[in-house]
Amino acid sequence: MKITICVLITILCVFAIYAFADEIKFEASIDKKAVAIGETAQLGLTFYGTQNVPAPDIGNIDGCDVRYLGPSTMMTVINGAVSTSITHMYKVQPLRMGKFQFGPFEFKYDGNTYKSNIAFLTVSEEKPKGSSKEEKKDSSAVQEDIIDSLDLKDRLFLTLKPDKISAYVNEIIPVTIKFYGNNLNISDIQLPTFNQEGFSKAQFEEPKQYRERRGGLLFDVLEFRTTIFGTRAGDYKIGPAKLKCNLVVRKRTRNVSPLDDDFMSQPGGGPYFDDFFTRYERYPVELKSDEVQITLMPLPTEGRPADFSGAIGDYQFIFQAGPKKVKVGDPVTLKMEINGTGNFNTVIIPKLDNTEGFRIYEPQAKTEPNRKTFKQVLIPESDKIYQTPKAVFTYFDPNKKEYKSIAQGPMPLEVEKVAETPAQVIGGQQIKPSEAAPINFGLNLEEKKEEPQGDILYIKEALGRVHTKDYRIYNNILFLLIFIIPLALLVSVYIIYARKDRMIRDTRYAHRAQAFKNMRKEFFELKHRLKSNDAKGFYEVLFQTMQNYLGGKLYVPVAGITFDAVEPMLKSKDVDTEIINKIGAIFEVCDRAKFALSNIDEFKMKDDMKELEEIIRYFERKKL
Amino acid sequence: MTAVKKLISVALFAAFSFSGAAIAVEVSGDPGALFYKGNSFYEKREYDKAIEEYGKVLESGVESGPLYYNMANAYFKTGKTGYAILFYKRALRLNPADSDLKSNLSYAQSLTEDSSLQAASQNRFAWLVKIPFKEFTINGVARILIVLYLIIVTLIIGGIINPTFKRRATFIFYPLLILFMLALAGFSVRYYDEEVLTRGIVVAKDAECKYEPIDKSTTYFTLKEGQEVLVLKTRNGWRRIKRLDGKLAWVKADAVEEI
Repeated sequence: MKITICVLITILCVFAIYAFADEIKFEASIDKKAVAIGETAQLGLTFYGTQNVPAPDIGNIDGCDVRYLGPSTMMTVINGAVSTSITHMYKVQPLRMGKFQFGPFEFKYDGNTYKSNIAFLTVSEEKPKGSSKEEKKDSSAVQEDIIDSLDLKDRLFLTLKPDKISAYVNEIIPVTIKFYGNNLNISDIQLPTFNQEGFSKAQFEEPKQYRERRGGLLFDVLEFRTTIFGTRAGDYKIGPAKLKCNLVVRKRTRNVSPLDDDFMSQPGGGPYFDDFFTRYERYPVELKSDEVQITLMPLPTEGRPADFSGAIGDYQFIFQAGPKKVKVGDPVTLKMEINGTGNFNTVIIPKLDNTEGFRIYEPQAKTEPNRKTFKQVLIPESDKIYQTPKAVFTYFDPNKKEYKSIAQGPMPLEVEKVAETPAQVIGGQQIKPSEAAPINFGLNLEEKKEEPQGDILYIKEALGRVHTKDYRIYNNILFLLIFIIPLALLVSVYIIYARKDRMIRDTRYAHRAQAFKNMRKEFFELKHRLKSNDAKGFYEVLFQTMQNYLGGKLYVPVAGITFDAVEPMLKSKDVDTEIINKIGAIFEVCDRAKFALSNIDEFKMKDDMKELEEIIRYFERKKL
Repeated sequence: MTAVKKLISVALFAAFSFSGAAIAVEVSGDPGALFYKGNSFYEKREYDKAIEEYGKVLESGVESGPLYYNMANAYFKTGKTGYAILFYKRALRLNPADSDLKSNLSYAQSLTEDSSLQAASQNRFAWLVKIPFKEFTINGVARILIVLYLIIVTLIIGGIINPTFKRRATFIFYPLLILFMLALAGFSVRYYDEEVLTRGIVVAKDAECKYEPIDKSTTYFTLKEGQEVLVLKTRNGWRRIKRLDGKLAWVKADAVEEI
């Protein structure tokens, strides 16, 4: 089944190609305008509308060596239109200086004779700029200004052309930007931009792609169209138009110019001569067009109607009213359509004459391409009305340079009187039938809830959630606190648990931390002994404190700590000599106190305790 | 594990209590009575009186989505489309999910003369970030942010205290973190949009925009009733505005009302 579908699609495609095939056209083109002696150019003989034409025999061209390279076929589908072509490529190498003429060639096929145009090639002694292999530049230099360096100005450019260079204020001016590329590989083409100060610009239409012959060269063209209009009279310049794209250049590791022999440089298009060493590089290019001056003229004051509102263009005005038969209070809709060409931004609702007896609602406008439609709801308030108002649309036609007014209507209207109905009682209050409900264009309120077209949905019956005006939760201090407090908690928990974890993993750290903790406990004991004037006990505790503290800090067993044992360690840790001396003094006094307490009094104990405090402060400060 | 559970309970309690506290900022007086009085005038098609009553509710220092919505409806009925759009927009900030409101706003905007300039070309990233929380008010997004934040902090603290909990909570932690980041981005964009930028609606039928804040200055362009603009500054009875297509001009202060 799948195979059958594929075959059918293929047959349909082939049929479509033949069915939509164009009339055969025969064109000659040459890829370079000028070459030096010894260099080659590429002559292409293209048959549009077919792909079955064999290579024409172009014979010998005087002063030129011509060699057939092969055919190249192309099929393009643009907006559903299929076009086919075959190009037979010839390599031409001039053998003398001068201007060579190629063509017109004649070719007979299927009983018809086709004649091509003429292509010219100028051959000089000097090598044209950019086409020489000697002028090959490295990639970084080429990237600086690829167009200049490769002399692509005639082969890759942008044009900006408004349809008119003199227009009225608010008149639509179509602008065309064309991107030309001759036998080059371009990718990533962006939408063009252009300076349009003093003008409002519409969006670009879908770009068109086609081929155009210009100066004997065949260009691939990408056409962008938009419209502009100016709002103030004066002389203005638009442009330059700018367009960014990437130029894909074939590079070879061999010493060949990037554009040498374009036939071979087509990505995937040089099937015969492509080689392993080929690579393609992209160079970002910004193309610029020339500026164009546009003069904007004010609209003529002579003959300007009083009701002219600024519409400019060439328009038609269609006027409809319905229904034709209504009751008093029922809506009548006037549909007014302005179509044609022009600046629809300036088109406003046509003026209604004689609206007396009607209640008028806000009109509804809808803009579409080349059309603007207004819907105006009128409500007849009396049965004495027999026709709709007349509508007048006034505009300025820039082509005929005159103001025009189109009047439509009035349309006949039959308005019936509404029969009196008993008064209704709503919420204990008697109200007239006409006030019982807002005008609803023939729909009841329940229906309006479902279908909003034509009117707004009804009011809310409950006040809903009420809070202070402009209340913002994030302006409340609680909002800030609720972010800060958990964050502070998180940081605290992290610090505590990180310390706890380190105490487990790092025994040296744990010892040091424990030493300080123990020392604080022992310090209380010292104070207690000092208070009770227990000198012996004081110095025993002092000795233990020193041992425990230094043992913890220096990560050595407490039992073996004497001054002689710790002194070298303290020196190795760069402890101040003064502190070492103080430690030595404390150890000494503790030793002496074991045997003789005669020289020790309360003041001495206080001094020694201060010394101990100083030692501990030093160690903690230095984080030893 | 029990400690972690307690921690989560406390965090959730704190988040919801705070949200509740925010809601509980109530008002004095009886705005409800004024509101219903306004509604009864509206039903009798006495729209000006309805607006007056609704205005009294606002003067009492409170606001609500339905209040702005009804005011907008009343203005619409009196033909003041600019004011109607203004109040619909104010209502939309408080009730972004209200379909009636969106429908009426859309209809009112379609009646303005230059509705093509209503749809501001917004930054695509900002537009994208707003999508998940577009049905919430900015306060609603802030509350979501708080709840997510507290849960995430609690999960992290729980993970620090109890490694087993950390392993178990991993599968929920990362989705919550992504949700939190989205909420934060959404909140930031909304904050910028509603607090940093000052938007305004043209309430005059035609507001002439001048090059300079002087009556005799040349008119640059004319704004139509109901168009939305950015208000850059207000000085000596003039507002410096930026039209949504980027054009800058000065306009009389009473022609544009801030949303």
